[in-house]
Amino acid sequence: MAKLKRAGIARIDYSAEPTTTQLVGKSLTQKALLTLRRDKLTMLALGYIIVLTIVSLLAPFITDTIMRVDPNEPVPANKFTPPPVNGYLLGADDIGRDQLARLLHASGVSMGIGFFGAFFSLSIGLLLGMAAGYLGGVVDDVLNWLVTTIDSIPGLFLLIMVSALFSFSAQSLILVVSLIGWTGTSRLIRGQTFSIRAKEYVIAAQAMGANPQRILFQHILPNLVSITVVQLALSIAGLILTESGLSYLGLGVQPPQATWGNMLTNSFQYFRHGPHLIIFPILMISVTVLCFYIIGDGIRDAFDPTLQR
Amino acid sequence: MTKYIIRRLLQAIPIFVGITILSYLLMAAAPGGPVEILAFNNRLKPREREELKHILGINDPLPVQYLRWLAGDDWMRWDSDGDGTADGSVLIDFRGPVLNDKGKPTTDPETGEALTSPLPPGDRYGILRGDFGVSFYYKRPAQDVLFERLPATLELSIASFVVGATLGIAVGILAAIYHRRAFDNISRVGAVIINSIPNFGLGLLLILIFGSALQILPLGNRCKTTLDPSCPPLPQRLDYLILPTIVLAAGGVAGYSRFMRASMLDVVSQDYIRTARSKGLQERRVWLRHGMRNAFIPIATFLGPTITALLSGAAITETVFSWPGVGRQVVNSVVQRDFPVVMIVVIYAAIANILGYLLSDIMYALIDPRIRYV
Amino acid sequence: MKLARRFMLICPLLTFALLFLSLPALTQDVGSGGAIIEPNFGDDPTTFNPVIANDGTSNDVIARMYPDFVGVDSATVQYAPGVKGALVADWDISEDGMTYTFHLRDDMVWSDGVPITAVDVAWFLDAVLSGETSSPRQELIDRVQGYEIIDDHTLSINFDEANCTLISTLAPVTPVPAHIFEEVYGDDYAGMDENEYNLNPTVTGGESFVFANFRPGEQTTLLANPDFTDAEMGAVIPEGWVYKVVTDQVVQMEQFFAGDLTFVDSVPQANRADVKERGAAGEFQTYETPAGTIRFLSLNTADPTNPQDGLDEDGNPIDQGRHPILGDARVRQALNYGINFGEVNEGAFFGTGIPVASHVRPTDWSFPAGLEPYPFDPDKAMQLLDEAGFTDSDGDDVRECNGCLYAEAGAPLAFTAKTNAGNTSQEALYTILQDQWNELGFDVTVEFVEFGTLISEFTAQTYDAIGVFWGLATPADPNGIASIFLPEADVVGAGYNTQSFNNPRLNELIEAARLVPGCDVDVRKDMYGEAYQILRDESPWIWISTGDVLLAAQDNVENWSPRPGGSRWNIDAWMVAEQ
Repeated sequence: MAKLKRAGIARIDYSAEPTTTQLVGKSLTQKALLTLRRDKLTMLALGYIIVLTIVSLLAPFITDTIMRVDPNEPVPANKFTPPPVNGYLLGADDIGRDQLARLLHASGVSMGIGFFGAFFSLSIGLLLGMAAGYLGGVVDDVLNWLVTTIDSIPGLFLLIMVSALFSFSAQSLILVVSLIGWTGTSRLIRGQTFSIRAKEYVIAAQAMGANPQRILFQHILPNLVSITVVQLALSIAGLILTESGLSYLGLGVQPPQATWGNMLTNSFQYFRHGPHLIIFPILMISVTVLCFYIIGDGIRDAFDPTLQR
Repeated sequence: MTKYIIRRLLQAIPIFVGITILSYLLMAAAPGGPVEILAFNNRLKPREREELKHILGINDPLPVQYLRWLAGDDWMRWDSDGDGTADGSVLIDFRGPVLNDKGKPTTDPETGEALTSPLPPGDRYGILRGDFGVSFYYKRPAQDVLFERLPATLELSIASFVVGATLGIAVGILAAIYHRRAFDNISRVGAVIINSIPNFGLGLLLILIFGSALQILPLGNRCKTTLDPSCPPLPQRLDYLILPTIVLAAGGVAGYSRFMRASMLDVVSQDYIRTARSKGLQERRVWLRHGMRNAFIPIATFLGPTITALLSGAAITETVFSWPGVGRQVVNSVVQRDFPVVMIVVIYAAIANILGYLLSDIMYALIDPRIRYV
Repeated sequence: MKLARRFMLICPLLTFALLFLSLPALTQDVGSGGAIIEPNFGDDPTTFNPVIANDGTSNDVIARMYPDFVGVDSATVQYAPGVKGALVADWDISEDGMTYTFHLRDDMVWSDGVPITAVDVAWFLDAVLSGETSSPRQELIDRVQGYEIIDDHTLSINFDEANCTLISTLAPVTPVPAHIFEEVYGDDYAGMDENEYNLNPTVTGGESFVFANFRPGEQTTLLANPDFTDAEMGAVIPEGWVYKVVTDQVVQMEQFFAGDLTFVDSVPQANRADVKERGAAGEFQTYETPAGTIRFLSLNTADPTNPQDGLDEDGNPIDQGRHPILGDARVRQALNYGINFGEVNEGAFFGTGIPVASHVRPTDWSFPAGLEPYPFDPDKAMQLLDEAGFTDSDGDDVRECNGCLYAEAGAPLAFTAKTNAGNTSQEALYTILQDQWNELGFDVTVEFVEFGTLISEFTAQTYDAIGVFWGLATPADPNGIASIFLPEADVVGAGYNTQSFNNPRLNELIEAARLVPGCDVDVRKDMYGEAYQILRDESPWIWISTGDVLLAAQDNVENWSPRPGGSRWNIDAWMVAEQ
C-alpha cells in the first residue's frame, strides 16, 4: 500500500510541471482554480475541512496537554453533565467521559476511515480502471467481470458479511471499504481513459513511440486528476456515513474507541438524559459530510470547461 | 437489439457464478457457524450440537457444501434399493459416524474401526433447480422468508424512488435554469443537507419530533396494530409511509438533483442549443423543448444502480421504523449465520441488479438515437 | 370504531353460544377488554409447534395458546401441582423414585372441542423420544425410559434414575392436539420442520388465547379463547393479544410512552428512572422484580493456545495446561476484590444492579446463608497479586511475573476481556472494569466482538476472559447451571465448561446433591451451599451482577398485577379500557 501511495503522489506532482503537451491542461487548471477561488461556498467548506483535519490530528495533544482529560476515563459520578458545566465544555456522556475529548478523538478515527478508505479504494479503482481502459481486451473483460460481480451484491450486504469476518477496528474497516468500494471509481476511470486514449494527442504520442507507461502517467493520468479529486471528496463523505450506519447495526468500530458513529448510536438511548449527546455528534457528521459534498460539487463545476466563464 | 439483449444475458452467466462463489465464501468464512448461534443454550449437550451440524450439512468440506447448494445432493447420495437409507454416494459418505455423548465419533472397541450408521439419501435439488434450501433459523424454505418480506420492501422502495426522482429532477432542472443564482446555491446545499445526516439518525430524529413530540405521525411499523389479519390497503395507511420515505428519498433527491443539474448545464452548452437560441427561440422553449429532453438521456443510466441501492440501502431504515422488509431480515440472517436466507437475498438482488443495468442500457438506446447496438 | 361495531354483533352471539353450552356463569363477556399489544424486540417466531420450538419468541407465543404440562406457580416461581393453565393436577412418586404418575385435569379442551388428555402428552413424548426431531431435547431423551397411559387422565413416566430434578427435566413437555398432529405430521418426526402447519396451527387451546394469524416481520395475533376454563374472571377478558415487532429499542419505549403498547416487560436501563417517576405520578403502572439474567465474566483457567477437553474417552482428566495469568486462583480473586461495584453500578447499570456471589439468586431455595459477594478491597487485591508473584519491577504501573506460577518470568500481567458488541451496558461495564483493574497493575485490553464470533471463541476455549449474560432457568434449577463447571461439560467446541474448571470436591457435591435419596431439601441445600462457596472462592467466573427488571403498563390496563414470575400470569383478566 505504501509503495502504491508513493508512486501515486509522485506522479501527480510530476504532472504539474509545465511541459509542452500540458499547456492546455495547465491553463484549464489555472482557470479552474480561479473559478474555485471565487466560489465562496466551496472555499468555506474547504476551510472547515482543513481546520477540522488539523484539530483531529492534534486531538491527542489537545486532550492530553491542553484539556488534561483522558477521553476513555469514566467518571460515573459525573454522567450526563450538561454543557458547559464543571469544565465539561460539551458535557459528559453516559458514564461520565468528557464529550469534547471523545469527539476530538472520534474525529480522527471517523475522518481517518473516510480519508484512508477513500484513498485506498480510489487508488485501486484508478489503477484498475486505467488498466482496463487503456489495455482493453482480456484485462478489460476480467476486470469488468470483477467489477460487475462486486457491484451486483448490494454494498451494505457485502459490508455486513465482511465486517462479521474481521474484528471491528478502524484499520479493518478501512481495509474492508477499500476492498469493496473501488468499483465505482474503476468504472468511471475506465470510461474516461477509454475516451482520452482516442484523443489526438495520445495517438500522436503513441505514434512517436512513447511507451505505454509514459502515456498512461504523463498524458492520461493528469487528465483524470479533477475527476479523481471529486470522487475522493464524495467517497470520504459516503464513508463517514457508512461508518455511522454500521455502528447503528452494531457492526462498526467498537467502543471504547470513539467514533462519531458509535457516539451517535449510543446517544439516542439517552436522549431524555442528555440531548447534548445527540446534537454534537450529529452536527459533526452532517456538517463534515455536507462540506465534502460541497467541495466535490465545487471542484466538479470548476473543472468543467463548459461551465467556465 | 434482440441479439444485444441475448448477448448481455449470456454475459451475465459468469457474473452470476462469481456472485454465488463470492457470497458463499464470505458466509462460510465468517467465524461462528449457525450451530454456535442456534445452540447458545446451556441446556444443550455436546452431542446435540454435533447432531445439529450433521442435520444442517455443515460438516462437509466447503466445496461440497457449495456444490450441494448449487446443484443439490440427490445425485451425491442415493438410495437404489428404496429402503429409505442411502447405499451409494459420490463426494460425500453415505454412512455417518456414530457419535458418543460428547459428540465425538466412536470406534469399535475390538476392531478399532470407526462405527457408522446409515444416512438418508440426499434430498436437496440445489438453486439451479429452484431449491434454495431451508432457512437454518426459520426452518422453512428460504424463498418463503424472502417473498414474505418483499412486498413491504417494494412498497417503501417505490415510494421513495418516486418521491426522490420527482423532487430531485425538478430541483436539478430549476438549479440549472437559475445557475449561479440564489436558488442554485440554496438547492445545492439544501438537496444534500438531509442526505448528510446518517440514515438512522435522521429516522430516529423524525420519529422523536413528529411521532413523540408533535404526535402527528406514527412511530414506525407498517400500519396500525389491530387484531385484523392484515394491514388495510395502502391509501388508508399512507401516514405510516411518510417518515421512512423521507429518509430513503433523501439520497435520491441529492443524487438526482445533482445529476440533473450537471446534465442540463452540459446540454445547454451544446452547439445545437446555441443555434436554437440564436434563431431567436424563446428562452423557456429552449430550456424545456431542447434542454430538458436531452438532459433526461443520461439519467436513464441511473435506473440500474437505483434498484440495488434501494434494495440494500433500506436495511437501516427498515430497522429504525420496524418495517417488515428484506433489508432488515438480511441483517438478522447474517448475525444468525443463516446462510440460505442471506444467499437467496443476495442472488435475487444480484439478478435485479443485472436486469436493472440491462434495462437502463436498453432505455438509453431507445431514448438516444445516436446509440445503436450491434 | 370498527372494532366496537363488530363487538356489538359478536358479543350477543358469543354470550348466547356460551350459555347454550351451559358453561359457568360469566361475570364478564369474553373479549370485552380490548387488545393487548406486547412488543417483541427480536426476531420473528420460527414455529408454533411446541415439539420443535427452540427459541424464546416462539416459546412466548406458544405459552399463550398451549397448556403447560406441569405448571409453575407464579407467586413462588416453583413447579407445583394444579397450577392455572397446566394439565397436571397432581402427581405421585413411586417408592424407588423412578416412576412419576401424573393425574391430569379432565376439563380442558382444544379449540375444536376435543378434550385434552394423556394421549396429547403421549404424542409429544413419542415425537421427542424418537430422537428424530430437529431440536433434540437430549436431557429428556436420556432420562425418560418410557411412559404408560393408564387412562385418559392418568399418565405415568419412567426415568432411568431417581434424581431430584426430574420435574424440571419435563419442562419442555407440552400437550399437543394429538388428533390433529397425527393427521398433519404422522410419524415423520424428522420432516416436521418443513410442514406449513407449523406457522398456521388450526387447533390450539388450554390457555388464554387461540391462534389467529402470523404476519412475518410485523406481528403474531391471538384471539380470546372462549373455552379457557381457568379464566380469573370466568371468561377471557381481552379480545386478543398481539406480539408486535418493534426493532429499535428507543422507538419501542417511545411507542410505549405514546400508548401504542399495552405493557413493557423489561424497561431498558436508560429509561428506568424516567418510567418510575412517571409511574409514581400515576401515568403508568410499574412493578419491580428480580431479573432472570446474570452477567458474568468467564475466566479461562487453562492454556488458551492449546484447548483440550476436560476428560478423555475413559473419563480420566486430560492435562490442559494452565492459563499463564488466570490459571492462578489468586489472580482471579484479585480481579474480584478490585471491582468497585458502586462505581460499576452507577456507571453501567443506572444504580439498578445487584452484586451477586453466585448464579443463584438470594431468593432461591438453594442459596446458602452467608454467601457474600467479594467486597471492594484493592489492598487485598494487590496483596494477592504480590503473593501470586506479580509485582511491578520496572515502574511502568503494570505488574510483571516475578516468580509467578504459570507465566514466563517478566511477562506482564495482561489479558484480554471480550464481550458482545452492540450492548451499551456491557460496553460501559467493561470500560469501567478495565479502568478499575488497571489501577491494580493489570494491563487489561477490552474488545467488543460481534456475538457470533464471540460465541465461537467462547466454545473453542481460545480466549482469556469473555463476558456475556445468560438467562437463568425459571424456576431455578440449581443443578442446571452448576453442571457447567463439571469436567464432563469441558468439551472443546461443544461444552460450556469453557473455563476448563475442575474441582474434585465440587464435582462430588454436585453429583451427590442431584441424587440425594428422598430429595431432602435441607441436605441438598447444604451440598449446593458448599458448592457455591467453592465456585465463589475459586472464581472460574466473576459473577458480576443481576438486577431488578422494571415492568410497566399503561394506566388504563385494569387487573394488571405482576408477580415475581412475571406479569402474564393473569393476562386473561386484563381489561384495556378505552382512553
